[in-house]
Amino acid sequence: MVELPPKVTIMKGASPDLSAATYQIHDESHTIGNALRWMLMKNPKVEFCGYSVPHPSENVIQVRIQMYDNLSSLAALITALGDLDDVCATIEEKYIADMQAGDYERWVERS
Amino acid sequence: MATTYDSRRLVGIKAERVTDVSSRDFPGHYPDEDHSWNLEKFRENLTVKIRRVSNRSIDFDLVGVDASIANAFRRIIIAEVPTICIENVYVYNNTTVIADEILAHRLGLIPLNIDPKAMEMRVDDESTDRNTIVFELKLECTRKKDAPKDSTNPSELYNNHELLSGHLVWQPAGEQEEVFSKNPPAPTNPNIVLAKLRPGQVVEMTLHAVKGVGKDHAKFNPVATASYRLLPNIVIKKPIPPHLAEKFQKCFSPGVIRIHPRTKAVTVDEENKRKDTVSREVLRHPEFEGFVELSRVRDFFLFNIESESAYPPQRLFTEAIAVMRGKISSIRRAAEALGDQPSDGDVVMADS
Repeated sequence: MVELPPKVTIMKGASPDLSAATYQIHDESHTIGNALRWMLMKNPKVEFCGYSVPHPSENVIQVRIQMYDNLSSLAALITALGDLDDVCATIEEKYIADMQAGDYERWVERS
Repeated sequence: MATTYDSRRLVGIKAERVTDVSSRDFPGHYPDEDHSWNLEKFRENLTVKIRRVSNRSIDFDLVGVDASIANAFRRIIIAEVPTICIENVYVYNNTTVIADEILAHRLGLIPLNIDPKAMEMRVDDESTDRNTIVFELKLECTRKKDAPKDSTNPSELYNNHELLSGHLVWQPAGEQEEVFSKNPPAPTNPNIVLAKLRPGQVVEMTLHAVKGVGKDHAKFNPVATASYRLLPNIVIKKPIPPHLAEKFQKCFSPGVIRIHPRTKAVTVDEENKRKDTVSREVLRHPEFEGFVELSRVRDFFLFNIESESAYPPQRLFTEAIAVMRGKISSIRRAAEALGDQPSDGDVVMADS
């Protein structure tokens, strides 16, 4: 089996305290990139956040995070991931609740 | 009473352009307003309302999320929710006019009724009864003895003149007989024509179906479409003159605009306004200038998902959420592991 690259790496040029760093996330795309960027930008301690897919044939995204007050961007990243999981959990909960309420139109479609 | 939306939630639709496309709900955008992440606020604002469900499709509203979140789910349904499809085709005999590789491609595209939850991903081509389902495909076309002389209809002249998806025969292996006893693996539609045969032509193949995702090959895509659009919003700024009422109504999709039968007063049908295509026809007529404003609600997503796989349509969205949470947790685990390591790429000795 081929050895897989680590899922997340910190790219060269990050500040030693990680207050500004670019994270390379392997095997991810705009799906996670844009959602994660949005959640990071919701954090008032984040000065800048952007992501890119450097090349379409490389299955990699790069997320740049710069923090105010020399805070750790890694901590912000982990918090954002946690918050994103909360978003998913909340949407799932409401979707299932409304499904179980059963207040929708049912119809039959030919297949 | 018409629902009015906060103007910040609206994407303006003008005759030649759209305005306020991007979301601005970030900290620091509006002075003295707190837009930082708040789960309680999000939960309060979020609405999920299922509208219509059929055996094949589902319509639901997802209100109060950012486009990046809605888009993530849409993308995951298309590319990362797994399904089962035929991946390997072993051809022992194929004398039809369809070349082996073309037929193999067509076989791969057949939707199968196998619940992907019941199977594992195959890794390193190691087939087991947990990750591979085997089908046999054997068919020979022959001439019918008692066919009418002057007939040109192949179904009167020949036996088995069409190779159909229904001809796939499942070959249970190991524990599969037990696992799939309730719902034996088969194509969801037995009437897909795979090839046309003439007397003497034979097909004999073994097919291996495996679990995969749409980003690997489009045949694994579980949906026909998974899409969303934004809720159209139509605001009538001043009363439409009665003699123009019908012309105004015709500028929109049927059912969107109501005209009072006696007073000819024009109103927007709140239930039906979602049906509007936002064609902007009304903006082409100078007589309606200043009478109406078109927009869409930026965080009001009207989802439509059409399942074309073993998944019932209402399950696809929850599957997408599960995939998303799986991705988040794997990135999170990797990020947390980074915390213990030095950042500048230099290897720091453990005892330094």
